[in-house]
Amino acid sequence: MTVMADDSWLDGEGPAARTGLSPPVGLAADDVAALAVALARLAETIDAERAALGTAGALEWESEAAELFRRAVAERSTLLAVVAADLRDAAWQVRAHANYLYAGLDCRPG
Amino acid sequence: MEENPPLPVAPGATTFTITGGVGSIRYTLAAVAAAAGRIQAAAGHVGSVGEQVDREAAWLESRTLSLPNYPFGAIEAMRRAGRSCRGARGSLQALADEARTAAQRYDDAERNTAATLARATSGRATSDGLAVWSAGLFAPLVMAGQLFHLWHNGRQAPRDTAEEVLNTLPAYAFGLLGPGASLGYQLRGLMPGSGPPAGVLAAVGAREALELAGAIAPGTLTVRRVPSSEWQRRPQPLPGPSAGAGSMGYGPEGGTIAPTIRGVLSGSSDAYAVAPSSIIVRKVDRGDGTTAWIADLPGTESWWPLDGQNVWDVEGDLEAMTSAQRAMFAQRQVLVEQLLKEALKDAGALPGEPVMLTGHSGGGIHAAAAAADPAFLAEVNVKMLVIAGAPAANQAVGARINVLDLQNRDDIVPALDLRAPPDTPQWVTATSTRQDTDTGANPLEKIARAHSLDAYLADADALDTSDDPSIVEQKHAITAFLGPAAAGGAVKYQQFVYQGRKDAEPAPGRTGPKAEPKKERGGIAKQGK
Repeated sequence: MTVMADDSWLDGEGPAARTGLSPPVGLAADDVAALAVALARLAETIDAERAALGTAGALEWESEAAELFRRAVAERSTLLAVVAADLRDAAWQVRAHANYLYAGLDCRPG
Repeated sequence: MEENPPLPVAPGATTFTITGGVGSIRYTLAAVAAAAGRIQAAAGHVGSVGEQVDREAAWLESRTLSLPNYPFGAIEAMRRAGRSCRGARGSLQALADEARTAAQRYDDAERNTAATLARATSGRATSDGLAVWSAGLFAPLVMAGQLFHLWHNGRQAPRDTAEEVLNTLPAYAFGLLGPGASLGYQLRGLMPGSGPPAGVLAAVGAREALELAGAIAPGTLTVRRVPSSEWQRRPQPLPGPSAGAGSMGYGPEGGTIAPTIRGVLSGSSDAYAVAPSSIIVRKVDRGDGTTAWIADLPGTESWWPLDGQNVWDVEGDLEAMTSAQRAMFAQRQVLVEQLLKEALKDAGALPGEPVMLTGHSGGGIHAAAAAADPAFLAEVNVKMLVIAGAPAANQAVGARINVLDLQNRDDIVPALDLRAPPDTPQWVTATSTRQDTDTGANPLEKIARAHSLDAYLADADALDTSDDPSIVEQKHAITAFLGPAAAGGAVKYQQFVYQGRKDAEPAPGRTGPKAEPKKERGGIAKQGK
């Protein structure tokens, strides 16, 4: 099954909340899969911020203070790499739960 | 025009002190502040991502809380990612704050140090004045001793000494009046002050005094395109079918310009030679179908009368130095600015086409004054100034205009603005220390030679081989201005010469109508295009 990406979802409160329907019973597998895609995209956003941080550290500045600043920027860059990894892990876990829900749908009689 | 004899300047032995540009502290501080802004933005974005993840985790949890297949692993991973985002946001925010604060503190420290040094210098001058006051009958002896000490003070360059002396004259004068007056002056110096810089106030005062004395008066400008037969040493026929008519003089002559600092600055030297009260306008073929323009300005050509028909006279210098205060005077226009606009327009410059101004001494003041005048910049797209030996530091040149400012430590003319050149990313000042082989010259001769444009052109030669990052950046700005043709080492141009003449206004009042430049018969209007 193809999981459709929904960009507006990035700024909303969750896929189910924007369907306009009454509160759903349980959880739709498609919504969970879409959540996984959104989380993966957020990881890419963090990657982009990490690249932007790299340009902030690329100054024509030579001094002891400059070295400390570059080191601090490098530490933050590592921190952002951890954030991106955590988001990808979360996306993977959510995707795994979506797969679990899809598997349950496939086993349902009829 | 008679050429100056060769100067005893060895370009290879010339050394430079560079301020401003990409290698300067101010540039670094601006870059650090910009980096702080980018880090701040990153912190904001990461924070938004964290909030988004938290909302989605809450949503997922609310939908699955009562279900047997509760996605504990997924929700926990999302909560962990949200915490990571919050931690990273805080850390980035702290770094942005630290960087911004550090840049600001460094800037404040620089300003405070400069202010403290200025107060100390002023205090010394007051003490010197008081020493003369308290010497009574021996005052002339004390004063002579002070002058001797000043003359033989080898710690500072003559330019810097001149600047310091001019700046501290008021403090010294108050010291001469006694302890009460000097104390009052020093207390006044402790108060936070604002308003025009000392150099501008001095120029305003001089211009007002001369105006009151009737030594200078408002006038109107007449502009004439100078036929090439008048300025060419060997008149050359113009190419093309109309060569016969063109060779009579009204057509532009061409040449090539080297894409170097010397290449562009040498136009100012030519501007002295073509005709009195003139400027040169060069139409540059950038090699990609586009055109750039260089206006070359000479320096002060007429020292007496102070206010004559030549626009390059002392009154003209004062017009430029008080350009931002022009509303205070009967002559409200800077005639050289009008000459520049008329000349560029007549030569065919289109609005928006890039313009470079070069100038020596008074020409440098005028170039900077024009580049600081919003009304001028609204009509002329000035991209770069290359000036030499000019007291132009008080001109608030547009922030996006590159300035390459050549000075020499023995040249006291640039000290007439009473302040150091701006230390900004765009304004690069190269102060030369020349290896003068003529050690027997008297000090006045030395100062005159230091101000010579030929000597500055030799400095330009030396700068063209400099690998200082600020100078390299300015050289890049020159080649970028000249366009792809600069890669070939010689850029083609056509040359036009324009002469401005100042005529006395019949009866101008301070509230009189704005004077427009006239086009002289046989000049621009008659020549047509």
